[in-house]
Amino acid sequence: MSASGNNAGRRRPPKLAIWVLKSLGFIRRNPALIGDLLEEFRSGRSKAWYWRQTANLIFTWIRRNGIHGLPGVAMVFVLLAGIDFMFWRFGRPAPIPQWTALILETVLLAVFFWIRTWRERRRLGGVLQFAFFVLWWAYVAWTNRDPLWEWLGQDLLIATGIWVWGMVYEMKKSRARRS
Amino acid sequence: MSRAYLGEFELMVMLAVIRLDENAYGVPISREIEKHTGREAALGSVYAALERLQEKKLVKSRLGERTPERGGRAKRYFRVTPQGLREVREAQHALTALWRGLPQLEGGTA
Repeated sequence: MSASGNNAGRRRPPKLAIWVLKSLGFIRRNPALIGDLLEEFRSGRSKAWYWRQTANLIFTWIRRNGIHGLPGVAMVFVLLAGIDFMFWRFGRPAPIPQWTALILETVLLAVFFWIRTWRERRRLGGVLQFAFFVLWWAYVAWTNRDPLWEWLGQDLLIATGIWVWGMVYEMKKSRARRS
Repeated sequence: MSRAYLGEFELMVMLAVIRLDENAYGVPISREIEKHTGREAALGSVYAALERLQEKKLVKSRLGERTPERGGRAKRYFRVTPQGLREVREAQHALTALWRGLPQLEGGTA
């Protein structure tokens, strides 16, 4: 702990971290937790501490709710965009057309998400999904030299698909819980 | 009624809530765990555990007062339910029974 006195009570957390928490819905979802973060930060915690807490919040949420919620999808998009950029920068020519790759990716993702919806296969689905993400994107991105924006657009499309899927899944779950 | 088994971190959170009594909300719970374990307890993890415990009906919560140092946001106070207290006692008995009669864990600092 470093800051103290009157200034500590007026300190503001990092703007970008607040924006991340706000856009991923954490402030709306759990205002008491955000209040706790602010109270602790103003008692003298560092900006690095605030960032660590923000990252922990996102990872904890994903671990608890899977990647089909908004924070999970945002993480997936950032991860894929990062991989795309790396391979776009250092990649080689594509062996298969981009749209074929997109359809294949979407079908495989759908299968893994379907597996995840069975309670007893949840872990297996998660492992397959993770392995698939890493290997498939590494392979396709490595062998493609299309413009970067096309790849980012494709990732955004897939991320949006996952999000919509997640929303439908959650709606069905809460309807089943109510009845 | 089926039993709701407690994980290690959940048990720590339950004990912190019991210790803090009327003042059990996110910040003091996290500080209490940090004080007794020497490890930082991230607020996100504490709340995730509290949500799980609430779903298992082992704790309940109520909203408290809004204060300016929290940006006008209310505190959420937690309290252990009678069922929660029973679970903590069960966990204590089970752990004590497992501990008993282990020569490797007696005396010394190995």
